[in-house]
Amino acid sequence: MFGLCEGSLLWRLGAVMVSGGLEHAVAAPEGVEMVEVVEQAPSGLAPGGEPAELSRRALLGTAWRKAAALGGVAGVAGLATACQPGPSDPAFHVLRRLTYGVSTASLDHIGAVGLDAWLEEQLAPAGLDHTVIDAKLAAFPALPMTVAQLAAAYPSPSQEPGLQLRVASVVRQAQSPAQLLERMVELWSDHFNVPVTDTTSAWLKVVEDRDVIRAHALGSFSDLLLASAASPAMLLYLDNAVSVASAPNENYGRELLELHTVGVKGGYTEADVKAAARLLTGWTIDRTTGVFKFDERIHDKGPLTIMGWVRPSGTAYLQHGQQFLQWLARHPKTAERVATKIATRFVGDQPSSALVADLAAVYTANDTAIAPVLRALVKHPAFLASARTRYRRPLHQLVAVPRSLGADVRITTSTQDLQVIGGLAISLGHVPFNWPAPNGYPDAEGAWLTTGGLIARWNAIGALCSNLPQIVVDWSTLAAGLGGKTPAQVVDGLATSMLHEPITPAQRDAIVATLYKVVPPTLTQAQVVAIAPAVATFLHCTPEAQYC
Amino acid sequence: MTDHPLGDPDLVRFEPLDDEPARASHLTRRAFLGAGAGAVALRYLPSGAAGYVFGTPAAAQGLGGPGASGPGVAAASPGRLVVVFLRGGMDGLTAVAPVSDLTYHDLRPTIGLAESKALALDATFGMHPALAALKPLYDGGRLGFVHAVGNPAASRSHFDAQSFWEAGDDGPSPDGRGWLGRYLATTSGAPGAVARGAALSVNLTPSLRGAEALVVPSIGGYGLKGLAALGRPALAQFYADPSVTIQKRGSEALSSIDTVGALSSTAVPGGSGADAAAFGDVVALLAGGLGLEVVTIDLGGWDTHNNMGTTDAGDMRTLLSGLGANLAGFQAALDAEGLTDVTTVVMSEFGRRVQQNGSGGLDHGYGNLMTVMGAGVAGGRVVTDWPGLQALNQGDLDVTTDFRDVLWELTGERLGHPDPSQVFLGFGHTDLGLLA
Repeated sequence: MFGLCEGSLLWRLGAVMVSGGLEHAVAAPEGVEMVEVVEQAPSGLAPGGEPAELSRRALLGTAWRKAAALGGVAGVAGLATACQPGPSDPAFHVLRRLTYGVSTASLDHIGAVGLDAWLEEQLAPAGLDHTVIDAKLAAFPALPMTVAQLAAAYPSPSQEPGLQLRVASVVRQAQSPAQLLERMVELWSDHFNVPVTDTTSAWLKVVEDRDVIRAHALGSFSDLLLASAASPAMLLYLDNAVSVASAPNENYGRELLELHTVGVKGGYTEADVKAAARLLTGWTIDRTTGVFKFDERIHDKGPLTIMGWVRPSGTAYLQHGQQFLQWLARHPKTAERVATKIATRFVGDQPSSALVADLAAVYTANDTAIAPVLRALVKHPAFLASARTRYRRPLHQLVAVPRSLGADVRITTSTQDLQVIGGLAISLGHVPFNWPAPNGYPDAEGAWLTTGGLIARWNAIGALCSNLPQIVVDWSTLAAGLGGKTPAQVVDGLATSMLHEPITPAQRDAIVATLYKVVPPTLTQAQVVAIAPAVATFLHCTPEAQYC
Repeated sequence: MTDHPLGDPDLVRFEPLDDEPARASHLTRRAFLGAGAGAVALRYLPSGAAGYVFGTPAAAQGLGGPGASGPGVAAASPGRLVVVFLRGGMDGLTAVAPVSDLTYHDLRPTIGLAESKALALDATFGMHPALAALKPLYDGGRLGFVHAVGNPAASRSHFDAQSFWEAGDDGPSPDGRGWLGRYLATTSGAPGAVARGAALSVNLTPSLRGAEALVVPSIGGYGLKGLAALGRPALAQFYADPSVTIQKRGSEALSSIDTVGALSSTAVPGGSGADAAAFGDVVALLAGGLGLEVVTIDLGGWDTHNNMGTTDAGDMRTLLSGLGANLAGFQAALDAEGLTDVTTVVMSEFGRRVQQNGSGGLDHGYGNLMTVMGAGVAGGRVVTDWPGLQALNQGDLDVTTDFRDVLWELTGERLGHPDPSQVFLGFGHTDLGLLA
């Protein structure tokens, strides 16, 4: 549906100009013939391929990207799609918004296959190549275990299972090819928030993350809700595991209505909260295996009505609760709430009622299936119109920096690795599975865009660019072809390779002035590499780089 | 230095990176896992300092240095206010209970405050012994309670109730501001003030919405480090246009780093846990000559749906013991710094059900307890129009005092707002006489 390469000639020309020609370009993908696009450069170039300052500046913004990927033009996929999208293209916006950060590899790939095919790949992530991420996840042996296995391998008070879960979630966000899946896992992990607070909750959350959140993140909301309601991690966190007919605990019943489904304005009363709690008494945990158990002895078998839903007759008590949850998942207010959550995460703090209504209608028409809602979202004018306006939450930014630098994220559960990733996440106030309240981390710019939040973010960006052994950046590749250029040209070139978008001339000049008391005429290649970490920090600290 | 990798060393502004990475903070494996947070952390602080859940303040490294608090700028208001929000629904009927009321003990057979162990406050009420650190302040008239206080909008939702309290309204904020934001927006600060409002928090406290306020996770972490510190001149240029929200926030951050980051947290005598460090930061901020008038701090862990324990032991005793020690230590630290203009108010979004549930806990309730302490307080009293426990509101203590009456007096008399009706919109105030 999207013409990725419209205007791409201009874009490529500018790219060549900025990079100074193909001799500095990254090697073309294997089997793809390089194209001599230098010849397409317009007149006005200074001798030696250097662009005149004015024309170079004029082209910035629409025509800036280096020639790195141009090799694909004449290659297998043909001219229509085989190029990287520019910063103004819908596909670029989709990468910014639906992934954890734009990378050269992701730009190459979406350019090669096109936006529609990319989205379908992301909605069926099993078909993606998981070789790299699977190898990294081998460092986290707790992840595939059952509760019984976890309890045997990591007896209390072991910190390992929670630790592995927290760190693995960051590694997946940074390096999994299933980027949209990870974004949705984070969204549902907030929606059905369960913090890890001790060893027991960690065992249960490891299983919930895998068998509830990840299993259903792109499936149907109804299935997700049922799985969450029967999840030992949730049953323990919101006290339903200890809710008994003689004195029900209302904690889960209330949040089920208020947070997980119809919302606080969903039209329920305090009596409905109490009835929901009664209906779900007996949904508890088998203390020997750590799995869900329905205990009829503590279940309230009496008749009840919740928001107009009437308990059926008969003794299929467990099914009564399941039927209520399925009814709740299909309630119009739940459709509205789920649509609002998705629209908020992927469009903005205050999504329009039209967008919410459109997504809710898709949700309902597809019997709570999530993938059709995401397809509708990506094609919605409100989504397309919202480019670069969504403030990245801290952890998103934390992951986006290494992604944009093409870094290899080498994080395990070693003490040194934890000092880095744990320290950064704590300083940002955004540690996976650590929000204590059932509503999940805030998803509003105003909550995060604060003085202290910016300071922590700038510091974190600097740390990520500081040659940490856990964040391995190939500065030489990022700096390729920039030796011999002026500092201003170098900074612009690094913006291209490190940020994938141009910065303003004023920002560029500010960076140069920060680097040099007296600006040298040109930099050697070694000097470019030496300043690269600092420039990467400054580039990712611009106001624009905090948005996706 | 002839082989300086950045070129002529006289020309460059900084040294290249050495081999030691810029570490994020002195964090340990233990801190990242949250060991020691224990059951208390299961309950929560919705908008609060998530970093403290780990027991290690957010970015403990900071630029450090001894306190550099000079005379600075005095606040414009006659008094200053610290707002403590107990997130999760603190059970005021355990903290200060009608211990001679048999109904109370009938409804709370195991978790109720035992009459024999309570510290008598007056003919009706006893205080939990875990709050003993507050008793001298109460007896000395410097601390008082308001009971059966709450919001006419009787929401049992944490999130609605908190937002209504922080709006200073009986419903959603009519103007998008919080009540402290409205105070700041309708008054003027002292010339040269670095900031008039601050939140000791990771996220912006909603009561401060609608005005400029510093958000300080910890003063120790409030500074630029490593490459970000080297980039300060560039940051100043990036964040220079006040018409763009993020640039305005960034500019405020940069202009407050030197003053806030130079402060040192004050010791809180007898304080307990990470919250003590946060209170110590509040003292330092108030003493720092920044022109601060209002500071918010969030304390979590109060959503006690299960296993509250008994008067002698258990989760609730632990929570109250920490609160009492930190509030008393906070006041002592203010006294030691000579900060005689600071009043503290403690609130929570709702009380809890009178009758205990089957899990040894309490579900969401309604009427609750507020505490006022410090400058100007006519304490040593439990101010209440006590509704009793016989006629309950859906099983909960009823509300007979509007929380806005408490905040109105503080806004008018301590902060010196000439017209608190600009803060509590459309509210008709009844004087409670809480202040001397």
